Amino acid sequence: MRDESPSFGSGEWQQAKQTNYDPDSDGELATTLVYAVADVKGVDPLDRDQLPVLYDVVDAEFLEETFVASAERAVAGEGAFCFQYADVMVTVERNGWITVYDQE
Amino acid sequence: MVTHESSNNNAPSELSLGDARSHENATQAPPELDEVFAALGHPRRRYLLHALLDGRSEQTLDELATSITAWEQDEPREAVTAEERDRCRVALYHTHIPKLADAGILDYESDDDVVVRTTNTEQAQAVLTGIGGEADDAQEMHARRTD
Repeated sequence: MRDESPSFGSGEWQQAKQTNYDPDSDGELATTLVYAVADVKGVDPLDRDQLPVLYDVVDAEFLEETFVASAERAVAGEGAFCFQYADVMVTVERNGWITVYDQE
Repeated sequence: MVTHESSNNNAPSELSLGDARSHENATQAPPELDEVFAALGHPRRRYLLHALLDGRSEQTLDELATSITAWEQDEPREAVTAEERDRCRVALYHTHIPKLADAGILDYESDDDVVVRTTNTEQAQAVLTGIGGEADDAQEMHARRTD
């Protein structure tokens, strides 16, 4: 866990939620990401107005299969993938940590 | 099977399109084979196409999510909980349906919240059954359950 506030572009982003994604037991990364963002925004995960199509921003299936470490695929070294979606900032780390940041 | 011929006599007859992403695809030539295989490269997208084999021209996202979850868990539709259905629905809406729509294999109409067939749906399903998709799916189902 980490609590410093990274800078993304010009915005002031505050960490709002952190959760660990395990590709071997948690189903699809896309689902985990959308539920995490919905939680931060306080909206229904099925809300199509507040949560636009994730695939228009990022191919979560690609991250799940090639970026996040799993039992099948150990990953050497660290890394983080960062994107803005539905007015929040999301980072996905290779070790499965997902962090959602919002702006005050 | 899939051909690369571009013929204009496959004009869609009753496609009412609610989603801007699919306007072009629905009237284009059949998708390239690479694109079809990429589109079929996830068990949930193959389940989705199986679900659309039942002859109905459209199904709601909830119906599809329920069918797919029931298959994945090898249980009757009635046993699927609302939470399970919703989690599957989110994956369909945010990843799998856009990918299939990009490949021109189906359309999503947001006004009615339904997935509809396109002129290319049948071709993708022919590829799927041609490579033994059904037997393959049964194996996938059991593989997933023993995870």
